[in-house]
Amino acid sequence: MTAIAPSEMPAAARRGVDRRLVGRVAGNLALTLLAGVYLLPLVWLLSISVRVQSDVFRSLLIPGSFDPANYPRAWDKFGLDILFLNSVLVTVGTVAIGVTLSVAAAYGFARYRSRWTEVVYVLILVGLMVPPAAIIIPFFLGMLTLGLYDSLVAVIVGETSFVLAFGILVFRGYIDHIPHELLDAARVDGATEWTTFRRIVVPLLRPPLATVSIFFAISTWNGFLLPLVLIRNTDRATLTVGLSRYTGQFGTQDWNLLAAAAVMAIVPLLVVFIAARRSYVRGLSAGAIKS
Amino acid sequence: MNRHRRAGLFFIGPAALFFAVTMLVPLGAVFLLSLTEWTGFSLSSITWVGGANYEALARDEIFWASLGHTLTFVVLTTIGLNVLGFGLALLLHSRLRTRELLRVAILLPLAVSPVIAGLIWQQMLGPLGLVNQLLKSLGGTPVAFLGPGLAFTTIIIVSIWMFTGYNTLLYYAGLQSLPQDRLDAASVDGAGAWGRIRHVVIPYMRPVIAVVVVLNLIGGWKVFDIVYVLTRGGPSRLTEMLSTYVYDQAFKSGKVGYASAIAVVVIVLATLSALIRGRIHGEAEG
Repeated sequence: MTAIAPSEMPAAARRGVDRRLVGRVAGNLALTLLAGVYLLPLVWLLSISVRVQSDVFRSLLIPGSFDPANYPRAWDKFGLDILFLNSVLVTVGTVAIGVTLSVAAAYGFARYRSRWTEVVYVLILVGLMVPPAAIIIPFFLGMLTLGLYDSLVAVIVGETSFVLAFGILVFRGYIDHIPHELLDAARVDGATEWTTFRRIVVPLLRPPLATVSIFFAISTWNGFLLPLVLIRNTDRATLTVGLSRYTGQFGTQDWNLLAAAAVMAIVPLLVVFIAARRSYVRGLSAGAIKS
Repeated sequence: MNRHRRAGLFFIGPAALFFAVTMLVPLGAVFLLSLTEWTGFSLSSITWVGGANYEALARDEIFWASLGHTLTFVVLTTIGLNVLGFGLALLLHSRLRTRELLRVAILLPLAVSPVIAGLIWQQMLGPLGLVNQLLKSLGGTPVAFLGPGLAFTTIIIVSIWMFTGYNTLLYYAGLQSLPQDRLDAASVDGAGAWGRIRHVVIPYMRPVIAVVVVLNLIGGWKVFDIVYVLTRGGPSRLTEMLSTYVYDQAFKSGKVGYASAIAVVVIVLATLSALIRGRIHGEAEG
């Protein structure tokens, strides 16, 4: 810091430096401790996932054994290939349909405002408040009637309906900030509404497109109630439903394998999440502050 | 119809239609279903009973218990998430070197599904899990974290673990625009760290706090996954929530009409808690 040794400073200043130093050390310690508490469950999961059976509840945090073959074993035991495939299909389907519908609607709401579109907009935002469990019964009945029960399509439709409002909210926040002159200029140049949207608006929306896609992906990949209720056939179960069978009183003996399966179920999303952390945070604040 | 309106319809129409079919129709349907008695999901067995389900609800102890649990859950998680979220946001806002570590640590649970979070915590707090291992090595007796005495508390703690990052990030974003000159002025006036937080930071953040609190209140009513995975509403219904009770009544007991009445109560309460925002906001401006 400075060349002056603490002993050469006036006593009051020295006390100030001491206090700041103590504060900084205490602060860093508190931060590390808190970070440790929040990380502990995930670190423990990772540690369990490489232990041999007899070591599962013997070692504390540091594994007393190391058997990475737990991972392929867990993959086979829990039928992860099917579960992964279904989760990927549901997630990709929801992101594709949800993003398309919400970006178009957001453009419509921002560009073609009238009393009626504003009413519809507010109505759609109300959808953010509805707890999924509250409308799961009619959802189930509807899918049964339409012959979509026990299909991934039913899950995709359901997940899309719960994320749609958030997408519209975030996209509209951005589109409202695109200068009207830009869009009007395109119109004067003879561009159709569709061309304006496709060539001018969508390319400007790259940041919220990332944000919304990540939100939709996380919420769908982790979604539980909809696949739990709408899927019966185990061949069409998603990861969350497939792994939830091993919770509750009917757990599994092979907790090390279940831990390995859980790690594999988390990792794809975690990679995307960390890579796109900034987009996620931006979306979070945008969504909250506008709502 | 002019070109303007046609284009509006073209862009808004698909999403509006989708929303109407998948959200508004079910909302209407669940209300109608709540006025029927219907067991077993077969159309022939449906009868109109008017308000009978609601009368039965009023006498149903499990319903009142679930309502109490849910309300307690909503309030306690909202308080916990906001105290912790705000505190951690202040720590992140500091210039401390270890803040990146904390940022990552609170972000990661946001990407973990409640099902997997439940799986981990169930084992970690189980009779042989890490926490009881530690207690034993310290000479303590094992604690039944998912037993009758603590299951509810455990659910609240796990929920707070899952969502702290959400609140922290929202508060952290709000703190970015904190006016430095006001903080400096408070320092000159001799305010300590706590005084600056109380008299400058919190008043400045009140609109953000209002939004975040309402988001937590609304989110609280949605609780289902973590309860289902950790306790299935047990032991002996001590952690039953309205949402798990809806599921139980509709899909385990086949009482569709009755479950729909519970669902209507959830919808009404979730909507009401969204209206609180106006009050907090009003206070901020008044």
